[in-house]
Amino acid sequence: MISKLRFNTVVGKKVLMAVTGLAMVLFLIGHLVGNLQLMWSGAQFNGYARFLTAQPVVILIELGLLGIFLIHVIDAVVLVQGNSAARPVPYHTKKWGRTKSKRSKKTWASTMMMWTGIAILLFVPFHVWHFKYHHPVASPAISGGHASDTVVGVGSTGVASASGAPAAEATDLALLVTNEFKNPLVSGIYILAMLLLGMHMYHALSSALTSLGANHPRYQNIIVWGGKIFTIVIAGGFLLIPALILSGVIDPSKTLASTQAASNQVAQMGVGK
Amino acid sequence: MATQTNGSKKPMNLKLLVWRQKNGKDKGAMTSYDAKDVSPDMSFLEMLDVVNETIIKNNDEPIAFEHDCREGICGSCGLMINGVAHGPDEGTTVCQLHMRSFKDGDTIVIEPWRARAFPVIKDLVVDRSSFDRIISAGGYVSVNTGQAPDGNAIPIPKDSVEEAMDSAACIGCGACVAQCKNASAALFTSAKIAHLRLLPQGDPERAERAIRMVAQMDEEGFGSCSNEGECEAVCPKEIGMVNISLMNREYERALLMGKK
Amino acid sequence: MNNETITPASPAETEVEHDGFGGQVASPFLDSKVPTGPVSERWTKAKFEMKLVNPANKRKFTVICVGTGLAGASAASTLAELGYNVHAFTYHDSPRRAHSIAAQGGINAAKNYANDGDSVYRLFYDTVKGGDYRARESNVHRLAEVSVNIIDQCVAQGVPFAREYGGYLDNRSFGGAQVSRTFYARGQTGQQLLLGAYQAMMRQVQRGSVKLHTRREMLDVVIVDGKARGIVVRNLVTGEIETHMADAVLLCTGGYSNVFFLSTNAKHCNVTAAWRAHKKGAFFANPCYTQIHPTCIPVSGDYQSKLTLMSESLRNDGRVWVPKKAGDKRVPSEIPDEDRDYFLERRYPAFGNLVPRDVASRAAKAVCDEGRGVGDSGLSVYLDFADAIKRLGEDTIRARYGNLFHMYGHITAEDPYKNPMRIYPAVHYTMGGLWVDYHLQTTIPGLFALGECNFSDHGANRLGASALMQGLADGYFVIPYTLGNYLASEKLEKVTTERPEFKQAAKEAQDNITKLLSIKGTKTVHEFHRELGHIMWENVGMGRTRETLTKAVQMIRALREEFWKNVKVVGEANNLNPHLEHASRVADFLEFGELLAYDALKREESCGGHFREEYQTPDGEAQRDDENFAYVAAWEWNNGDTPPLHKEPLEFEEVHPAQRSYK
Repeated sequence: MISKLRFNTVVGKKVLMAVTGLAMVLFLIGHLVGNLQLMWSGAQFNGYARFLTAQPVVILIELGLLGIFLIHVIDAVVLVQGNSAARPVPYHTKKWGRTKSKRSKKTWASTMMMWTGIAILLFVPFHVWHFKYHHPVASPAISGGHASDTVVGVGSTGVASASGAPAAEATDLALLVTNEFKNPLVSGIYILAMLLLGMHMYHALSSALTSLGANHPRYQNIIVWGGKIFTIVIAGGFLLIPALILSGVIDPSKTLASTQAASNQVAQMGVGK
Repeated sequence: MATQTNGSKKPMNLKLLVWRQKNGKDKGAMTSYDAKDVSPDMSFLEMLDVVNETIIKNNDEPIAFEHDCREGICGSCGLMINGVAHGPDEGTTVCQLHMRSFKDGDTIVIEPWRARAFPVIKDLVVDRSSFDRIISAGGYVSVNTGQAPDGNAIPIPKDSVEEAMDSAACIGCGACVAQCKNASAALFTSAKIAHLRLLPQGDPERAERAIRMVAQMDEEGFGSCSNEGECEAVCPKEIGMVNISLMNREYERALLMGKK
Repeated sequence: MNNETITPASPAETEVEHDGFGGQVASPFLDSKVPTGPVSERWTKAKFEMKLVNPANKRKFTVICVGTGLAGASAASTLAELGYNVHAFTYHDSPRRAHSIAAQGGINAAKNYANDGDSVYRLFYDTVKGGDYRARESNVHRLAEVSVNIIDQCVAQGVPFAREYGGYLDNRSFGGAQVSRTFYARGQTGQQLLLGAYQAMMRQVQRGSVKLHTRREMLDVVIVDGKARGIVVRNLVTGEIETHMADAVLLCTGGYSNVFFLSTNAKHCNVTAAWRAHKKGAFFANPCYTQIHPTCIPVSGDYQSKLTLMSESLRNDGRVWVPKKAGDKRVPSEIPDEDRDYFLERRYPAFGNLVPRDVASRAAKAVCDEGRGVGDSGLSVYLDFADAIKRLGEDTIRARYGNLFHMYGHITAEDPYKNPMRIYPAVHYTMGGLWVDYHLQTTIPGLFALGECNFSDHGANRLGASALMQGLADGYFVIPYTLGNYLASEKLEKVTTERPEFKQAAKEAQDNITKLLSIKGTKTVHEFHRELGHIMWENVGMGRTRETLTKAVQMIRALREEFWKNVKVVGEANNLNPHLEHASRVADFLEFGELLAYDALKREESCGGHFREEYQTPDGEAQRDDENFAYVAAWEWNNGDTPPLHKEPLEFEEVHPAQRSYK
């Protein structure tokens, strides 16, 4: 059916890249909104985490995300293969397309798409492992529930939950994050990853919109500048948390005790629904 | 005048590094030639003519390159010059590039278009018949001679015609493919889809056209579009990426309509 | 045409009239097959009288179409639509490269959308008059009739003709007409029309009804039982000599301007297909009618490979001048008005800078011959916009001619807003071509010639925006009828390429290639071509005399002899070898050039693009001799000996010949 629908052409594959990419951007928005609650207070963040983990639908979303992620990766591999096959003999000398008064939209970001993509591909499992298995977090309030071992807001898969990761030791997520990010190595990895994500998105956003047919002279500026600003907001937002924690500007763990009860309540309300 | 005016008429001496390949099966190699006493007023191809005359006098085979009208409209000529399709001038084909764009003592690297869908026939000559097959897949309006209504029967907004003309100006030279890191024919294909899409005459077949031309482009072995706009930067007719976006839109619309 | 000396005698002495072909009194070869009756009804009548091929039988006929320009592509697509089995050949890598693509200005059609008094009859009248009364009236009228259908067809194909704000087609006016009847698509009308025809043909390629053979150069027509039944081509990639069978062959191979070496034609344009057909029995008509365009960018050096045309519209605002004194080397801005000679305004006060192409070209050559030409070479005149810029402002001039100024600046590296442009005339179209009857059939049955390749519609001078019209008229609207009539009337026996005629023609073509490669002389093909061009331009160019033409014939012969002894052709026969292709084309130009000069010598009058200095009015205008030369001169190949002349008398029933005057 897919091939009958002609997704299996160079344009179809790019459409698939764009759709899956934009879906992941939507997820990132949600993820960022969750993360930024750390800036508000650790308890708020924990409450939000418990609220999410209590939703059974999350596992479906996670499965969906995994699928989208895999399609994006596999499609990318297929595209890269096809593209390198399209020019079997390389040029002796090749420069960026520019003339005396004109230059292309090619940037370092666009040339590095494959490498930044690979970096993100490596980072995501690390990230899942890091906050899910290495330091599993369970909400004390709903300990023992099916989602008890699911790290919230990490873009994780949830697939491994059946493997029965230790859930007995309930850990406070905000505390964990704060403690981890105080480690310069961990923060460094996250900051670097977010820079690469930003680089990836810098080209990806406007590119995806062109692939979907949204490039039009009238909206060209909105698309280009909107894409750039959006990229800075997303990547910058994610990057801000380790950067601020590492530099000691914020310490979400400090606000934990006072709001613990409230967030418990929030989580329970969510479960009760 | 957009071009720089190198007032000097002093002849230049240049070194050329040219791809020589006997035929499609030969491996080929870069070969070095001297171009002496090159006038800045010469066109790039005239410079090659002069070099070829010297080669012939030495009983060697002249460098084969494609050319014809030498005024930038037939689309025959096309060379990678120092790593840029059609060389350093904007909105020009190789035949319109003048030697005043180079300096005495320069080394100029000259290569053929490189793409799986453009196999080298000899030296700098490649086979671009894949473009013809893309057009024959759907780059036309299905009207037989004699069927046409009066030319003024369907008014067309001036802006639409101007936009269509921007796309229709494509000369099929292949620079877009040559410059693209993926050897994608998206700009070429989309320019024709856009030209016909923007006119009411092209409307009845728009879905089939998009599906069939894209499928043919794929079959020929061109790469995909990475939206870097390398093509539009070197296009001698300055055809823009908006065409590619329009093609994508047309293709998606056709998909949603369930066209095959 | 070997070593026989040319004596400038009266035409009667050397011509052979109706006597070389079985002694028939009325030459069957020059029966123009023009229908009788009022000129405006002839095409309708002819169409009705033509035999039709049964739709089911059409696919049994194979038609070869050589050349894929406007005429070739339009014919191939239309015949395929009708059901014929078409084979299209081009020496380019793609049909879309044909030189029709370079036409800038526009295409005429008697639509009268401008409501300014145009009509089929007026277009017909203007074209006959513009052709200096040397065209066949019936053909021209048919051309004017079908012109309106061409526009409709092209619009339906998606040709983006310029439109007005209301969405209706825009028109501009062009030289030689007082009405606005020219349709255009920016400065790329030829390109857009060709792409329309090309796309129509590619649609038929997809359907399998046109088989496209690219990178094939036609080297011969194969005649079986007196009829054209196929062609010999060289596969330019493998060097293989191929033979192809057909029931009819259409030559749509363009003009021969490149016999002058420097012209505005594309580099590969050549006379080979037409010339080889001529050598197989097709008469060549009026080769001396060549058109010279006054506003080209001048030659800048020996290396010059071709000339670039700029639109004639420049003369609307530019003033043409040279210094009054020969050898005045001052920069133009330092030459005061009293030392300038605005020679067109001086000689032609009524039309001034807007005199027709031929008049302006000759005047420019005359002042250069006096040593008053400008530029390094002395072979150019100024086209000055200073007054226009002063009067209208630079912005207005930029809006009108911006793209032309840009092109000029790009090529010459001079700024035409600050310094006057330099221009010089160049050959850019040839009105002569293979002789064809009203059905576009040459003197070889089954061999048709379309577009610039034939001689039929423009007389001695072509009007602007008429070349595109003729190519498409022939291909879309004439040949589909006349070819059907031929195929339905003739009994064509089945032939295959195994016939000895095919083998023989292929062998001759192969031998010719082998011979070219075996000479291994010292002079390159390029040098021979340039030398031929020089002889042609100096002696058979704008101002022709008995002396220069006689000299030219002798010089061409000598050069041809030298060519076959001393040409250096390198490379191999069985590989892509553009150099070898060029050699083969130049070899034909070296024969054809002589016929051109000979025709010019024998036409002892001046008309249109043919100007004999002996035949001019007291004030230097072309003087026709309608009494003695109102005929088409169709030359027969005579194995290199003096060619017999066959005359097709021209009768003017509608448009009565008069002296052109632009004073």
